[in-house]
Amino acid sequence: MGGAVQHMGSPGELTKLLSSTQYVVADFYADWCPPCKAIAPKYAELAEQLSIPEYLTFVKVNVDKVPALAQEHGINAMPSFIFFKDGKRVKVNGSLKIEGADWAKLKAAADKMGGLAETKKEAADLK
Amino acid sequence: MPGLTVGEPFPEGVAFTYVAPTGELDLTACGLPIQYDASKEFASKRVVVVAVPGAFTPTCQVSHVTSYISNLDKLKAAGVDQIIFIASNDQWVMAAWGKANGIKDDSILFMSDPGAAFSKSIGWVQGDRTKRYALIVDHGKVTYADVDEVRGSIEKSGAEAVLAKL
Repeated sequence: MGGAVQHMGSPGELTKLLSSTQYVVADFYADWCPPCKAIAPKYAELAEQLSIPEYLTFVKVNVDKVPALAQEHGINAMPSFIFFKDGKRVKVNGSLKIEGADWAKLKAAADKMGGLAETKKEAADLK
Repeated sequence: MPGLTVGEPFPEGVAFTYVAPTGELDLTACGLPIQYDASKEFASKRVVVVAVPGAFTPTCQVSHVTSYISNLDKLKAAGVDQIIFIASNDQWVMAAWGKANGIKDDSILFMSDPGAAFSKSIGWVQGDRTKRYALIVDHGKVTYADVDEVRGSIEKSGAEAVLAKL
């Protein structure tokens, strides 16, 4: 289990991933933004610990390279973390979006999604 | 005659840039630079646009922006949807000016009129800087437009002047 953070280079790439993976966490960042750099290694660690192919993937979107995605999802500040279930935006622990490098909130949300993804995989494996 | 004429529609194709305010998240988040389609946004709002020669410069700081900050409630009560300060400074300087004045939300947005392009188009510039002027645009129509030619005066473009015309 576990995996690397996937970089979405276009809206199409994200759409494709959303149709093949049940739960997706997305990190919207910019190269010039210090808080983004600060939280990046921790985000990568979450991906390594919690990713499950087809069930949970962690992605990154560079707002300067893919502005269309930033606009589509109402991103105003970086980093912003948003969540998808079955291709649709969902709230995790009450938030549709985590704004800023809030490690506590991000970890709680990622752990929650990790738990949900694992449960789904187990259920599928048992069929 | 330079400036905008009251009663005329606000021009097409006007854009400003600004950095989205990050409120309390200043240390943990970076605001996204945004292209603001003024012509499009103003069509559906009641907006006050205040142009100042320079962020942090004496009159602009001491009297101009402060007059709007202290009259914020009255302006909102008078039906203003958005107050926008513009200057020829870039969006990062404008964002810093907003923060320096304690504005953490979108109550007053601080935007760049890049290269003073819009201000030049209406003939209200002095060199590379914008002149000191204020506009009220009500759902796409200019309902107030005046400029302070006297140095240091905000008689035409201060909050009181604008409130009187709302």
